Amino acid sequence: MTDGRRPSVASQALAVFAKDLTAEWRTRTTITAVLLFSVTSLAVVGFAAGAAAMSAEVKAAMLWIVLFFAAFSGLANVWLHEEERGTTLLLRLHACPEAVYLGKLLVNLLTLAAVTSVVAPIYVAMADVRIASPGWFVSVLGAAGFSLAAAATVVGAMIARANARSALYGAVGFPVLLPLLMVAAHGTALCLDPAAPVTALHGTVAGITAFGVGVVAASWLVFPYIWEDM
Amino acid sequence: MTSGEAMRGPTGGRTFPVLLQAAVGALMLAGIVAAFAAEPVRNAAGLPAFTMGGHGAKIVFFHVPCAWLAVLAYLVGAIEAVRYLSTCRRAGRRAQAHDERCAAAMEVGLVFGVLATITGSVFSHNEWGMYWSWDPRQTSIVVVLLLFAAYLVLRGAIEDPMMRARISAAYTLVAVVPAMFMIWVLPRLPQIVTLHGGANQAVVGGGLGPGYRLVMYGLLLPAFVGLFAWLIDLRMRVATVEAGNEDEVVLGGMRVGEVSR
Repeated sequence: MTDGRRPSVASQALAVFAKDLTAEWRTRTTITAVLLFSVTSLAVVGFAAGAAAMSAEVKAAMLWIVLFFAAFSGLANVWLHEEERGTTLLLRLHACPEAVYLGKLLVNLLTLAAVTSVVAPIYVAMADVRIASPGWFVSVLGAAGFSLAAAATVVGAMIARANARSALYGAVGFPVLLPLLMVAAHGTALCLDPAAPVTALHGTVAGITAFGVGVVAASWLVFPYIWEDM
Repeated sequence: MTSGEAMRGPTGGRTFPVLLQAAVGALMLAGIVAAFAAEPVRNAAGLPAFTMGGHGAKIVFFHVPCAWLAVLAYLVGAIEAVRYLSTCRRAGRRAQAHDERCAAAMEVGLVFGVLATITGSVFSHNEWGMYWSWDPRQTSIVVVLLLFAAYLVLRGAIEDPMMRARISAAYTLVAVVPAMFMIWVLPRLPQIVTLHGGANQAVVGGGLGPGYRLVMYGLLLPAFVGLFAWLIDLRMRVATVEAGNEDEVVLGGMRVGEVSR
């Protein structure tokens, strides 16, 4: 900022994203914790289910329960680390709230995408899943991952301002994400069904994306009130 | 006095008037008597359309207003959250009143949500054979219940009053997306099969007959809306007392401040 002008929201958001990515790269705490949690959960569920035959609905729900709890085991770290390190005020001074929200959302999107790209193939192999519509399966994963990251980011920002954060995150975040989980599990089950109509798949992906866009829009509007000290 | 003015409560300088209290009581009493006295629902062949000789449908007189008021409570909470956030920078008593009204609406909404779930479970058991059938509408009301509860849990975990009010309002507005999704979008998706299709058609579509509609829309729904406004007003008065604003509380036409002086 040599000419005295404030950088755009996008460049501030990218700076926040790069800062968090660098910090994460140094320790790799979040990605390791989330990944380990996901793989362990999959192994536990797989062990519990054993050789029992599972319906497509149960298999689909299993994937999303694992991803949901994985997201909630680590995605709040983007906010909690700022509070623990005492860098919140510094960040508040150097970036506008919208840029902070966008930057943190990008970090969480990347984290969840990385985790999903590891967990999904393991899940397919472990649960003996036959995907009838691979393209739609990736679309459901992408749309639901986006919505999951969007909701987890804004709930994490709120939790960071409260007491008893670790206990609260699941309790407060779960009701917000429950509709998404239901539709994502339904959409994944449709992807496993060779007879599933394309219109149903299209409608499900559109619904999940609309949910995520709605959460991002609401978060964008209210985030300044969450972030700033007035 | 309009119902909006009646809901202002002591923080806004008004209380729920005695005349409206009496009207709510009279409507509720008349509604309960009429609900018990109503003729059982019969189908086109003249046979009872519900269990218990057709009387099994009567719980909808209470279930439907409770479910609608849970949704109304969320809408009131969301509107008050917007009003709080748009005025909180001025940090006056008016902004505080919006936050308290939002919290009151969420608390009352939780009560009506629980009542809707219980009455719905009784209807489900009588008509569909089990208390819980994972119907999309049953799931919807549970998600809304969880949102009410999560709001109150989050609110209780923040000590600073200003921060608590801002975060609570923000949560209410973010949670509008899943709440509206569960209430209006999910049950109407073409691929979703719901047991409520017939029942809702019976209630909203007028299938219960003119007598039932009169009891529902003419007596019990206005009575429940009045009860909702009254409960909000009572909760606001409690909040005012808790906040140490006793001088605003009207007791028998006299202010506490005047009494103490």
